[in-house]
Amino acid sequence: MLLKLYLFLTGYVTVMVKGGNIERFLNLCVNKSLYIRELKMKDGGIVFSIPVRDFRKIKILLQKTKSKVHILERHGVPFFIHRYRHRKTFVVSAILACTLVYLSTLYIWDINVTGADQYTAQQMIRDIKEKYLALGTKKKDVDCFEMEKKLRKDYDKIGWISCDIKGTQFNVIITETVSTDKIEKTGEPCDIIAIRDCTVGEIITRSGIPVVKSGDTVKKGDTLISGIVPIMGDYEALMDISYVESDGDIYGITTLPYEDSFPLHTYDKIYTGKETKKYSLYVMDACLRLPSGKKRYENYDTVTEERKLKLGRTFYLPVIFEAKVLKEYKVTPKTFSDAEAEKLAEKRLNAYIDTLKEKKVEILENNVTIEIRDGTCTASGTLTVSEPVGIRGPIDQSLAPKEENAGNTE
Amino acid sequence: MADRSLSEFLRMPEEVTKGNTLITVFERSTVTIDNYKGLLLYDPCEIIVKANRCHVKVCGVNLNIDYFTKNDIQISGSINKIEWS
Repeated sequence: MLLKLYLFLTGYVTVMVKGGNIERFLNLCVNKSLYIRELKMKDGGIVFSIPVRDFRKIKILLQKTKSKVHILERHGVPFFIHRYRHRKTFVVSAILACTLVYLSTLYIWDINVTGADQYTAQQMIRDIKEKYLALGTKKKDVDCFEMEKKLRKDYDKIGWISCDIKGTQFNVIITETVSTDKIEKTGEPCDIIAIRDCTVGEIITRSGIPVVKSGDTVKKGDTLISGIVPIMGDYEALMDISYVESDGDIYGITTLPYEDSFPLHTYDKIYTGKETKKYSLYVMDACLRLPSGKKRYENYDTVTEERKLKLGRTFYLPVIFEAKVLKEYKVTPKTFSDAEAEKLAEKRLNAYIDTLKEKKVEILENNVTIEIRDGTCTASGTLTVSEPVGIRGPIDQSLAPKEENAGNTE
Repeated sequence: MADRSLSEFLRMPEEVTKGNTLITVFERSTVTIDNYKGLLLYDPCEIIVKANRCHVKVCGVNLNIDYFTKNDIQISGSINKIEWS
């Protein structure tokens, strides 16, 4: 591959040598270290490829062997330049195009997020563009390590993150944490506080002193586990106070209100199969609408497909080709029966419960009732759940043992 | 003898230490001859190469020379027979 590239850059010719002693000619070529390849017999002569530099040396050998040479094809960059030497505009344009392509490689033209599940990739990309990295930022100004830190701070469900630049694309790969009950460790002393009003269901302390016990009612911001650990001496005397990073699992029992309603009379979409396409070209932020179908529908869905222009795999250019497909549909009225409406309401409630379960929320009690009245199906009630309620919080000094006790130890 | 013992001692192949001709055949399509001395005959049906102590004749159909340098030559085509003489 490298040899072919070298030959292409330096130029090579395909020639036909006729007459004289062919074998002697070839042996002389080899002795002169000329590089001959793709040799074959054709029309009573031999055809082969030889680099331009070596071709200049074979004239003496042709005289020696009384052979004649005829150039069949010319390949490579030197011939290309020679062919277009009078077309100055073309050459200038080619140089300009190469320069522009090179310059565009110095900037970020695309942001890609993979691994997002609870967060959406589109939302993350929008946030990154708005807050940290606008398209067109110089690659040398991008600090991937800093970006990792910032994104980790913004998105607390990120368990692992990696940012890198490939070509002109800024890549973010994330792995989200499955459970939300993990409290991030930083090594600094802290309390664990309640994130909402609840009744403490279960408390497992790994580090620190538990301030509440199972069954206690706490309010948002109350300390659950204190990072202040008193060191007691003989006779229960306070020797010293140690500040630790509190750690533990605290599950609180809370009541979540649930309300969902939908009308019994609704509409169904029936696609007619008719569709029209609209094309646009985006260069940076400028939009150019391309001529396309002018059909207008009363009711239609829009499906947008974006294609980013790129060279190779990762060299994205600031050009986006957008195709919008407008699909026409007709609206047909539809009425749910009571049984159908109840089934649908249950399905929507179960979907909501499944979402809670994915977040490690345990459903203890389901007090949701479904009611159909005045053409509306309403599911309302409460869900009693057990969920993680502890987060890191600053040390609450009011929980520290009093100074007078410390003085008594001396 | 010295060459043999040297190649045995260094565990190097003889085509390196003694300059013996090495012929490598890939199925019936390609033959590579290392340490050859010269090309004696080139014909689409027959190529004769002078080796270290013998002549190597490659017979076949549409024989081409992919490349040849001072040390090695690669022949491709539909090879029917390889002879030493």
